[in-house]
Amino acid sequence: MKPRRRHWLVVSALLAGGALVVWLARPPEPPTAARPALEPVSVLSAAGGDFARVERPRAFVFPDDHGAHRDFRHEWWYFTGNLHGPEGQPLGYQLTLFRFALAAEPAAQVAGQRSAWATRQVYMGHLALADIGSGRFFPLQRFAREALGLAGAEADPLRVWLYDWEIAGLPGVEHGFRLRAREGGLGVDLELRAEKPPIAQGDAGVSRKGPEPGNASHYYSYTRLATRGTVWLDGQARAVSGASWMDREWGSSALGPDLAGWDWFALQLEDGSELMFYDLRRRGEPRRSPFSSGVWVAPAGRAVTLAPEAVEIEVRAHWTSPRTGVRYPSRWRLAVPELALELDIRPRLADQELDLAVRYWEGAVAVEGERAAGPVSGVGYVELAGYGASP
Amino acid sequence: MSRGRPAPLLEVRGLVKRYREGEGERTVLDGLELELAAGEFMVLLGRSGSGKSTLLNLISGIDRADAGTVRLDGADLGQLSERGRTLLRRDRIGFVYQFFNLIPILTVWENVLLPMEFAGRAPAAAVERARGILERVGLAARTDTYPDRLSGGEQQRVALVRALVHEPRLLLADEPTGNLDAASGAQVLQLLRELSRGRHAVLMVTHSEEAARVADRALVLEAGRLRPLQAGEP
Amino acid sequence: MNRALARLSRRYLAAHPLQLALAVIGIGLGVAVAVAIAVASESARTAMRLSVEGIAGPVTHRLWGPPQGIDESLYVELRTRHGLSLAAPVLEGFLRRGERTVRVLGVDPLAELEIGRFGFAVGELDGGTSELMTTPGAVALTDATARALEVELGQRFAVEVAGRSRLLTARALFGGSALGAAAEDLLVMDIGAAQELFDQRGRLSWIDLTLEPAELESLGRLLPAGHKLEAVGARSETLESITRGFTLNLRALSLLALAVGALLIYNTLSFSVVQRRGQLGALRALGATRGQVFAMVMGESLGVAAIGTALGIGAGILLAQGLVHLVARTINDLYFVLSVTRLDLDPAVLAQGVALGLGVAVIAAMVPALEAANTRPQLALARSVIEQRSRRLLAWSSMLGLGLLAGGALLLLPEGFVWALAAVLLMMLGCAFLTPLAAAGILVPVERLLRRRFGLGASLAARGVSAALSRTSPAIAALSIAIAAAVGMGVMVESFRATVADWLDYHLQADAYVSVAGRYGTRQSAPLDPGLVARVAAMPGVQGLATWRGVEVDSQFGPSRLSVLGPGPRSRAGYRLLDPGGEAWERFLNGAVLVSESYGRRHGVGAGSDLVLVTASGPRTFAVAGVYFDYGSDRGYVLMERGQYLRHWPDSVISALGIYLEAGAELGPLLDRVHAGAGEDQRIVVRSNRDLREASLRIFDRTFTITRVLQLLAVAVAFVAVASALLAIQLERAREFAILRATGQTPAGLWALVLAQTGLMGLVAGLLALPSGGLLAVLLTDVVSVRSFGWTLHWQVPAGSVLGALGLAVGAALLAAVLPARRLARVPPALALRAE
Repeated sequence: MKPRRRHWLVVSALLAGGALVVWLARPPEPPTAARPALEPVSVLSAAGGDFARVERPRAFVFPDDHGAHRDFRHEWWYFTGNLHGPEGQPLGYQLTLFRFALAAEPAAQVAGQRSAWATRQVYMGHLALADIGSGRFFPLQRFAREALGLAGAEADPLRVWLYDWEIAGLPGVEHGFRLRAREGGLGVDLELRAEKPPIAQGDAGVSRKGPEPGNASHYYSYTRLATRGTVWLDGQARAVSGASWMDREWGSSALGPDLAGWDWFALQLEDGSELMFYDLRRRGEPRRSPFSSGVWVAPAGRAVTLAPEAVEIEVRAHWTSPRTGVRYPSRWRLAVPELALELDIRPRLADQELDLAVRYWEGAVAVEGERAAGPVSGVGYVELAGYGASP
Repeated sequence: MSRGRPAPLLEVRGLVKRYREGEGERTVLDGLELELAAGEFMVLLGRSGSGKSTLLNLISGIDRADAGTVRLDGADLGQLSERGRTLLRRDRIGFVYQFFNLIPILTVWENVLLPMEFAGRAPAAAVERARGILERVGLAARTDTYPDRLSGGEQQRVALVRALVHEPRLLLADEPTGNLDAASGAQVLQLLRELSRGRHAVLMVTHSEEAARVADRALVLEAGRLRPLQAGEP
Repeated sequence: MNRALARLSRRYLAAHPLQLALAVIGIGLGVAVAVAIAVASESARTAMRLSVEGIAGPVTHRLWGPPQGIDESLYVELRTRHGLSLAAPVLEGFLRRGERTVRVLGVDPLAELEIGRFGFAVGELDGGTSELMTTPGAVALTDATARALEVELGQRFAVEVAGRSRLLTARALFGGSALGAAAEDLLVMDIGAAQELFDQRGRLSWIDLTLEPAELESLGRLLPAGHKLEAVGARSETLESITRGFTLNLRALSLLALAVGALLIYNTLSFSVVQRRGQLGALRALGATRGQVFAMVMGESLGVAAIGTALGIGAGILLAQGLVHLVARTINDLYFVLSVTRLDLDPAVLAQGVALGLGVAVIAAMVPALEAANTRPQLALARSVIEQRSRRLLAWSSMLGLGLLAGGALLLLPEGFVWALAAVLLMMLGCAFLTPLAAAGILVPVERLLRRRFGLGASLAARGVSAALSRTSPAIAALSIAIAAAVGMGVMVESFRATVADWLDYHLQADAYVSVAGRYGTRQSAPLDPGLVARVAAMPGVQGLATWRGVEVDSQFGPSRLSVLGPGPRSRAGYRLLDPGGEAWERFLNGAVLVSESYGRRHGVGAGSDLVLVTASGPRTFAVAGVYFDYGSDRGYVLMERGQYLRHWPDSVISALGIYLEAGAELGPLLDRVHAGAGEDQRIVVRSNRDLREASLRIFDRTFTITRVLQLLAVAVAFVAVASALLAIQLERAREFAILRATGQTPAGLWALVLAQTGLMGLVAGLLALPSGGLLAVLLTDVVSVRSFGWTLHWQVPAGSVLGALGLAVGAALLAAVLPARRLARVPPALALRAE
């Protein structure tokens, strides 16, 4: 039970709010809405089928599992990374493609009768660039349906796309990706090569989110992907290199009503290790949810699961968004006694808030600290959700 | 008129007025001469159609002469524009007609103040004066009455007040008693005489010998010219 | 204005409430009609704009393809290959729910979310909207539309699409506030569902784009042949230009009512001046300047007009409520689907109404005010002097009238429809100014005749009218203009109708016609089931078929209606050419096109011209073989032979059939068989030649409803004018009548005299209306119709309308006389005598 829940929470909130985030009727409550989850199920059942559920461990098979799992309600391809330009200019990027099923696929369709637009699969894309040097942050968002080739996901060769935003496999590279997304003067065109094999999160790839059976998702991550390519800012191309992190997750269930939000940390340290931890915050309860979880990946690739109580987190500062008025934590002390690790985590840019269909903070961070009495530093990404009403 | 004698208030020289009549023309005034001093009370007599009303119209600038000049209070009417003549009439002349010519839809008080209101709001002094004169003619209690509720004599007295309230230099009266019974006529005549004395000149056209008797001077209009009234006339 | 004089004015008007009321009503009616028409056509214009721009949101351009639509793969390619963002595909269609035509926009909610239209934004849509994409037949609509269509959220409801019954489900409400009136009678659904509903799989009506100037150019290079980018504003301008002639016509007609109102004010004022001549003389003698007297009369006019205008604007808005439906229906019948559901009270339009009302008052008051200012400052003048003055006015007005007629004739010289309308207005005005002269010309001999035949008493009637020409002639003119308008428009409409009837006689060559019920799309007519076409062709007794397909294509003149004809056995006789002879029909069959008369006139093309049409494979030049008579649409048609069309457009749809019977075959059973052949699925309209002809004429008559309404309004204004003039005249002559009474005339005799006088005025007005109405008819029929609609009409003078005009005039005058006559006859003679 070590789900990387951040996206779960996003999506669950959307679903709880009444199908897809973009169709939310009312300004919803915080993402972990207290409304009954899976409200649209009545519609789904009427549509002639139910979604598949995550119930047993799964041995991930590549490249097949890079492709879409349409039996499940939702999934995503989530890339973040800290990069630098030729003169060392620091940059952060995020490119995420989400797939949502508005309803379970019907058993059979009468060919020829339906419009080619008819589909239940919808994609959302988020692209965000943090120009740390100039202090600017650019979040973008897109939607399309999986029809007519407007958006879709294919496993072999890997291609996940939304209009002209695309995540593809690197030809001849077993664990490599090419990300291409441009809009206006912004864009990325990056080649990513895994320096470590993917790790199955949670219990053999099954990440539990709650006590109920089936309330889980399949989840794997690439914790360190060597990255190089081009980033466009203000229409200017910039050669970049650095490291990325990739998360893959799919499932059908939503979030329990007791959760208020989450803080998610994905850190890449210069000693070659990586640390992921998500802290599920509970409503009116100072202690984190027992389903909070994490993983430490040793330089050689060995993964150590972190229990909720294994990690100490202390918020040291806050930042209030001038855009939305939402107050986010903005500096942390994170300690893992069993690893003799203590880190000071600071955003590389205070304002990395995405005020899109979903409102959250997802930003590049810098890390300083000590490991086994020696100094250690690094970079990473932090996601903060559930701090203020979605738009 | 330069030898110390004051210029006359009204000076009419060589006045000619003709009317088209079918194919031909009729000369009504034919080189008429007239002088009227300030404060003088003059009566004009003459047969119907002899041109008395025409003369009044020419003097007041209502009509224009075919030849000759009319000078009133130093102004040559022939040189004035239509507007100039209207303003001269409004400020220096008062009228009393045989048929009163009160505006039926205005009250006595409004009728009296009407000419002054053409020039804007009636000055306070004039309003006071109007009250005084109305008192003098015995109509102070009737100011809010409409003219058709008044007798002929009363109407003419209102017209008289209207003619005098702005202190004209010259009062033109066209048969002011012609439409009244003898008693009313005498009363109006007397008021006219009393209110005028020493204040302004009066030129009155009349058939009434009674009127001729109260005048400083009486002239007869005949064949387009004026001549003095002979003793024992008419 | 001077205070004392203003008070005098108020007292005078208050003392003559009836005159005041009539003048107020007159100007009020005039303004009301003008405002109502302006508001109604402005509302139609706004609705037109809204139908394009209201749904545009931030969209700057619209990408159009061939008439049958854009291939959806173009959209996919632009988005996935060329990185075009802020692009939204739309499929537009129309369906019927009961009697309402409802616009349907099939959209991609996800694309709409990006550009923020239709409330497809977070937080703006009511719950369950995702069902648009997952529930077949799900639609989103506004509250107001739901009420208008009598559906409730969640309810399934039946509609008719291209003659077929379909079930939709009201799944979501959207706040229409951002769309305004464009959201009314609008259903929004998922584009996939819309494609299925309208059987347009694979097609888009257009793609909405938000483009930067730089993108515009690069996108333009990417477009395949037959596609075009159009700025959103340009689209609504195109729609507006299509209906411009129609709305201009309406406005011109409404000015007619105002002109009659102007005569009314003139009438009231000039009477009041005459009535107060003595008073005005005294005022002048007492020192009121000319300017003050002028201002007084002008002020009275403006005061009356201000009240009348205020009332008129209120009444106009009320009237517009009714008129707007007539205007919208006419536009729907003649041009395109338009739903006008609300009035657009543009302050500018209302200000125009105010300006018109007051402006007209100033013009109308000019002559009476000058007359008043020129009043000699003395006692009342003798009557003969007044009439001498008005004789001078008569000469003046006659000259002015001739001048206006000549000016109007000159305005006919330049081409163009607006000039023609201006000419019509000038010439009608000229007729009005000639009225005194013409009236005198009629009345003098009438008077002589009456005197000879019936004696002095009878001739008094005529003399009463002619002696007071300065007051009677405006009334006569007002009535006569209104009647002339009735005659002119009557003749025009009658000629038009006869022409159309004649055209239908030869145009409808087939024995029966089959088409699909209801509206379908903006740029194409509803398709017939191809199976049905084949079945009908094979039916016994069918000699042959003619087929039609109506689409809208782009041409060098903008969007043009293309009528595609698959000729039947006698099709040739259905198209008469302006220039018969030659090989036009043969050339048509071999690839040339024909154009209808209105198309030809509108765009200046004729036999021998070339016409560029944008085909599916890009612009092609077609030779124009000839011009044919057609009264179906004032936009006109390009007629193309079906084989030729299929070569250039991949579109084999047939939207109407003409069935030719073999000799001796019976129509009735065949129609039944056709109906049976169509089956339950598609509701088709099968009509015999005669039925179609009648249905067409019914639509024609409906189209002219608004013209008839305006005619009636003009007559109503004129009626008020006559009543007011009569009242004025009769009151003025109260003393004269009192003398008549005193000398032994009975009240009944007086009644008779008054009625005789007014009847005479009516008759004069009616007689004068004949030449001016004839002139108007000629102008409307031979000039305005050709220039505004491009239609040659054949003259048709209905005898009824001539006699009717006379009857109407006399009747209106007599009716208008009742009130003053009653008043006069009641007054005891002594009272009237003493009043002097």
